[in-house]
Order: sequence, then structure tokens, then C-alpha cells
Amino acid sequence: MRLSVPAASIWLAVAGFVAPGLPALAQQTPFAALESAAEAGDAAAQTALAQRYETGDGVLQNYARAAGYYAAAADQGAATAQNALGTLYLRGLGVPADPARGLALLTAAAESGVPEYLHDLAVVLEQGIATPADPASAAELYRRAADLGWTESAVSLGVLYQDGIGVEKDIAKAIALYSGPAESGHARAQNNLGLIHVRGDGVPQDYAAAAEWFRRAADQGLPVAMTNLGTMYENGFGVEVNEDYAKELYRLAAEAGTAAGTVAGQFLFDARLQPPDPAAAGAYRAAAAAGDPVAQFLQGYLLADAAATSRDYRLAAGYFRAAADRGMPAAMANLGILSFQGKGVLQDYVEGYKWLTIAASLGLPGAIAIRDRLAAQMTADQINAANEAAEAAWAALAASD
Amino acid sequence: MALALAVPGTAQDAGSGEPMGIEAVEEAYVAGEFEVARAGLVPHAEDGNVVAQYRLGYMLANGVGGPFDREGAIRWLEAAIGQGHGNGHMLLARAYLTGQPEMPDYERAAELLQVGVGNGSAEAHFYLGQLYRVGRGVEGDKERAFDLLRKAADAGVPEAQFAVAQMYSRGEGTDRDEAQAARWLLQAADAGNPDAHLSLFYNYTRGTGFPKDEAKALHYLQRAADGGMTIAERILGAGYLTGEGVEADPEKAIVYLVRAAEKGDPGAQTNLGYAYAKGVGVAQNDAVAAEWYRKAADQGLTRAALVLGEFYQAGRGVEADVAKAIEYYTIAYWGRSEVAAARLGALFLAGEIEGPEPEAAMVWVAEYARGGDADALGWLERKARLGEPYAYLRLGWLYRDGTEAIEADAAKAAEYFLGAARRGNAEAQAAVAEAYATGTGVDQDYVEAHKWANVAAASGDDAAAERRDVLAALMTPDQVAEAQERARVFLSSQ
Repeated sequence: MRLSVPAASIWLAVAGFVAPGLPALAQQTPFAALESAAEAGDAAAQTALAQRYETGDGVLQNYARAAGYYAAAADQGAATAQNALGTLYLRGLGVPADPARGLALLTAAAESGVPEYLHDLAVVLEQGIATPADPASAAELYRRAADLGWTESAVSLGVLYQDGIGVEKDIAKAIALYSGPAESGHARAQNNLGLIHVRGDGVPQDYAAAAEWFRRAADQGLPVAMTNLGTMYENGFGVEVNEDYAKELYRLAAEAGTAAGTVAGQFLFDARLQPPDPAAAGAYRAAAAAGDPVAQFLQGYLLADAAATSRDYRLAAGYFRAAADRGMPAAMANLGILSFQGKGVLQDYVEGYKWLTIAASLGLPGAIAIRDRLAAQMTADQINAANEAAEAAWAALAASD
Repeated sequence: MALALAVPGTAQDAGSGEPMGIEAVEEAYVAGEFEVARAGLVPHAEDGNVVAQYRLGYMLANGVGGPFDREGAIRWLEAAIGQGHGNGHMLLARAYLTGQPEMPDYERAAELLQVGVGNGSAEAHFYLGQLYRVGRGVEGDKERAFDLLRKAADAGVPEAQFAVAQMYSRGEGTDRDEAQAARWLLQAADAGNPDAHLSLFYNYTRGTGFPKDEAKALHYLQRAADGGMTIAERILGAGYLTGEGVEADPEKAIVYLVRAAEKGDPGAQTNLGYAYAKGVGVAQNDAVAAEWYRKAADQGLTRAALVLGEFYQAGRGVEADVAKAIEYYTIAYWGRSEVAAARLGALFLAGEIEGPEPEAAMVWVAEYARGGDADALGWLERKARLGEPYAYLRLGWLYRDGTEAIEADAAKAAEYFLGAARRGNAEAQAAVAEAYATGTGVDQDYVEAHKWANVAAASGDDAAAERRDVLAALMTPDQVAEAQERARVFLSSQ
């Protein structure tokens, strides 16, 4: 199924609130061309189509459809498709979870010698996701990928040397592997270098240097680095004791990756609209009651605004839902965010993912990034259910036009 | 001597024939015949005599020779100042500031006070300082206010000394300085400022800024009360009545309580009602007691409403009247009186209250049951079996808290909360979440706890939302998914 720009574009025409000269919704590479090439058996087209379904950019995200197109390409030996399909089987997204099959597909993809695929296979072997852990084989694969210039693999190999897992413990090798990536900004490498300096493992103990490495990693949002930096501040290791800042770092680390931390009360806005004007709330309310989705969205946005004195998530959710039901993407996204946070509505990740998916399919900038960050808390079953719910909701929206 | 008896009317009549000469007016004033002088000045003021205008304005502003007349004072003082008369700015400013019932004109007052400040008037410093302090008639400016008030305080204006003490104590318009605050407060008190007396009473009682000292506290309370501070009269009266903080003296108690009660203070009215009901310091008299209780109850004072309800129920001092009793018990119930709620519960079960809100009726009966009435408990349990959610909710709280008559039973409490939660009661849903989260009365179960906290949060309970998010951090994604699924199913079945 292919989605068009919503026929419900009546909302773009509502007078008053819309900035003039709206650009058309971002146009995608011709979808029909990809579809016909894929049907004709073109593996590259099949893979490209599958990727479009996997991300859900301009099309309704659907892991099951993505898996179908990946499978067609994987059968023809396309390594990219094998790697992606293997990951889907390991996670159980769009297909029933099947670790053995996933491992087989990742192995086939790795045979291409592409460093990224070597790395993905190594991760699965190291963590023992499909089989008992095999860190020695993982180390070998990391080494091959690292030699091909894959930074991520160099850092992962460094961890194995640092802990002596799958290889003989060798801090000097670990440091050598971390240094380049750390200097060029790799957060995990920075954090691990910090740990080495704390322990004085193979280098002189140096709390100040350690704190500096933790700080650089924490600045990039790595939760474990925030916790480590917090420990330094709590104890005054290499920095002045600052218990308040330590607590703040612990809090940030705990919140990272949760709905509360990821979105932090920020709602999406439709860049084509004039900014909402609190003084116009009365006018918005009246137009919203008359069924104008733009007014419904603006009123919802004012009510959900963290700075608003009259903040009311339940009312905001009601307005967003009304506008979402009339096809307005930004309202869908914000209703989705509220559903993830459980503010003003029942917390329901499936519902939240569903609305962000539909908003993303309509080309709303930022919707995919937020959806994927929030999805980190979801099970594969929830995501699959959300894919199905999005299909059903879209069908209902299209029918109501 | 005939002139000395003259009222303004007769002077006016005399004037209609031929106006008094200005000298005659002056003579009358000097002789203390102010009514005559006040009337005699009018034609001269109207003729534009600037001195007459000022003098007339002065008399009207100070209520000399007749009542205070704000409009007249403003008219004639403005006229005099408009003609360049050098005095009268302060008088006029005061007239503008005492604006009842008209709105005070703060801006004009500030203008006039500015002139007064220029002339070095301490009073002008005080008033203008207060205007800067609250930002009326001028743009608020705490530093400027402090500067002006401090000058007035130095010049010995007691109200300014009190204001300066407050500002030092709060760090308002100046650096916080407890020592200065204490110094000025004592100075204002010595100068006889009742606000300062009351403050010192509080400070010596609580030991804030001064060492605790009951004797000094009582001394200043006495001075504040004698200075006419209503709150002080009430506190001192209550003290003499109960012997708290002072040797009991019922007669003195009545004197102070009557002063405050007659100014409408509901606490004093209630205490006076108590004195008459018990015959303390006065002859026992239920009818008078009921009247004082009524005055306080009609202002919404919970304690008074409860007692008056009891008077009506018992026919004490008033004719027995169940409807009135219910009315006053209800006022006390809204003031969160548990006793009133229990009384209403008993009356409700006796069939005296028709058609109350089910939620309120359940609270009443539950309070009655909490006091140990077995019938009330049985009634609630019957209602619960009939599926009344508020009955479940009340029973949940009764069994959770326990009373002398009802043994606390966490399992029963959880069961009743669950009954109300399933019927959509958000308060009970949050309580169920709490029970599951802590394993109180049920087996600990994070999934169920998350589910109920989520459902309660969806109807706007922010504390439940926080509990849900705390729980989620302790749960696996599978558990959270399961909890959300159950919440979704529950809500869609509602």
C-alpha cells in the first residue's frame, strides 16, 4: 500500500492561521518506480523499498512489509538485505523472532566482507544472543572490521582487551584502540579511557584526566558516562566536590532513554504555521469548537506548553486528538508523545508509536527521530502491534475523508 | 450666648440675609463656635478668598464644626493650593488617601506628598514611602520606599518605625538586618504602635528575633489589645478564658472578647458563645450563646457551625429544628469537621436527610462508622454489595486506617479499594496501585501496580503518574507492555 499526501488537506486551506506560500510536502523519490522494479525482481529496488518501509519515511512504517522485500533481495544474495533481515529475525520485528535464522542471515551478510556487517555479527556472537557467547570469534571479527577502518569495532575490541574476554587482557592494546576514536569524539571510547585513568590500569592513576574524558562522553549523552562523572563530583575525584551537580548527573543518566528524559516536554510544531499566540486562545477555542483542525492543534499546543500557566494535558490531548482525526500530522505526533508520557491520556506505547508512525508517513520532520528514540522502551510485540494499529487507523482516516 | 447655640442651619439662614464678615467668622472660630465658623466661611471661600478656602478645607478635612467631608475638603483645599496657598498639601493628600467609599486618588496624593517631602514633613515621608512600597500612584520602588520611611522613622513617626522594622526583617528595599529590625520594632512599640505590640507578642511567644519570654509576650499582647487590635483582643480574651499563658480571669475575658466580637471577629464570637453556654464569666444563657455562635457560623467558622448544629438538634437556646441542625452541620462538614460528618451520617441513616449526593452521604456514614456505630458499618457493607463505588471506597479507607471500633485489615482494605477501582473511581485506583506496589494486603505485583497507577493518571492524578514512572524504572519492557495492555483493556471495558 502506498500513501499519498492526505486528501484531508482541507486543513491547509483554513484561513487565518496558515502562513502564506506553503511549500508542498516533501516529495519522495518516485515510489511507483521502485515498486515496479522490485516486482520485476531488482534486488537493489527491493532493498530500497524495504528500507523505506523500515524507516517509515513518507510511507506507513511496516516491519512485516520491510521483511518481505528484504527476503526477496536476501534470496538473491544481497548482503545489505541479509544483514537487515537477520536483525529483524533476531528482534522479532515484522517476523516471528527466530534467533537461529537471524544468525544465519547475519553470517551470510558478513561473508561479503563489509565491515559494518562483520561488526553486527560480532556483536551477536559476543553477547550470545542466538548461541552461547563466543567472544573469541567476536574479537576476530571486530579485528577484521577495525582493520577495514570501522571505528565501532575498534572500540568494541578495545573493551575485550580491557576486560580480557575472548583475548588475553592487554590494557596497552585497549588504550591504543580507544585513543584515536576517543580523540575524534567517540563517546564509548572516551568513557572507557576515563575508567582506565581512574583505575590507573596500565597508565598512572589520573582523576583529573579521567573526569575530563567522562565529561566529554557525558556531553554526548552517554548515560554511563554521566553516572561516572557524577561519582567523580560526589567524591571530589579530579574535580571540586559538588554534590548537587552529582545528583543532577545521576538524574539525567536515569532519565536518558525514558519518555520523560527523551522528549522532556517538548512538543512538535508545524513549521508552516504562525507561532501560537496565547492572546488568541479565545479565537482558537471558538474555531476549534467549529471543527477547524489548525485551531484545534494551536489550542492544544498552548495548553501543553510547559511554560503555560494554564497547562492542562488532558484538554491538550483532547484538542490534539480532534485535529489528528482530521489528518493533521503535528497533532498526531504530539498525541503520540503524550501517549508515551502518559500525560493527560493513558500511557500506551502502542498508541504513541501508532500516531508518530502516521505523522512520519505524512512527512512531518522530526517524527521519525522521536518515534525511534521512544521505541527503545518497547518490546517487539508492542512495535508489531503498533504497525498493525497504524494501518487500521490510516484506513479509518482515509475512509473518513 | 444665642450664637453659641446656633446650629449650621441657622448660621446659613443668617448668612442668606447678609454674610458674616470675615472678622466675625474669625471671632467665632477663636471663641470655639466651630459650627458657626464653618458655615460663615462658605461665602468667603466661594468669593475666592484664599485664606477662607484653606480654613474651610481644614475644618472639613479634620471634621471640625461638623462631620468629615472628603469632597468638600478636596474642593476647597485644591482651590486654595491652586491660588498658591503654601499649606494644605498634607491635609489634601490625606483626604485623597482616605477614599472610602470613593476610590482613593493615589496619583494626586503622591504629587501632593512630594511637596510635603520637599517641606520636610515627616508625615509626608511616611505616606509617600508607603505608596512607593506598594506601588500605588507611583511606580513601586522598594529602595526609595525604604529611604523615605527610614527618614520618617528617624523623625519619630511610629507607623514608619514599624514599617522600617518589617523591611529590615524581610530585606525589603535594604539588606536584611535582624538587629536593626528588632531595634525599630521596640522603638515603634515604645512610641505606642499597636502593630508593633502585636508583632512583639508573636516574636516573644515563638522566639523569632527575640528570646522566648512569656512575660514580655503577655505584656505586649495586653498593649496591643488595649490599643484596639482585634486579633489581640481575641487572643487575650481567649487566654483569660482558658488560663492559657495568663492567669484565668473570666470577667476580663468577657471584656476583651466582647470588644473583638462586636467588631465581627468570628473566633471571639465563638469563644463568647462558649462562655455563655458554660456560664464562665457571665450568667449561663443558652439563648445568648446560640446568638454568638450563629454570628460566627454565618461567617463560615467550622467550630461554631458544629456547636450551633448541636444546639438546633437538642433544642438548646433555640427551638429544636432538625433542618437547621443539618444546615449548620453541613457548613461544618465543608470545613472538614469529622464530628459534623458523623452527625450527618447518623441523621442520614435515621432518614432525616433526603437525596444527598451519594459521595457525601458515604463520607458521613463512614465517619459515623469510624466512631464505632455498627449499623453504619453494616449499611456501608450492604451498599458495597449493591455495587455502590463510593461505599467500596469508604470501606477501603476505614479498613486501611482502622479505628478503635474497626481493626485495620490491609487485605480487606485492598479488596474494597479494588471494588471501587473496577467501578472507575480514580482515588481507589491510586490506592490499589499503592497496595500492589508495596504488597500491602495483596501480593506485591508491579504489573498490576503500573496498570492501576496508569489508569488513575489518565484521569488526571499527577501523583499516580509519578508513581507509575517510578515503577516503570523497576520493570522490564515486557512487564511494562503487559501492564499497558491490561490498562488499555480495562479502560475499553469501562
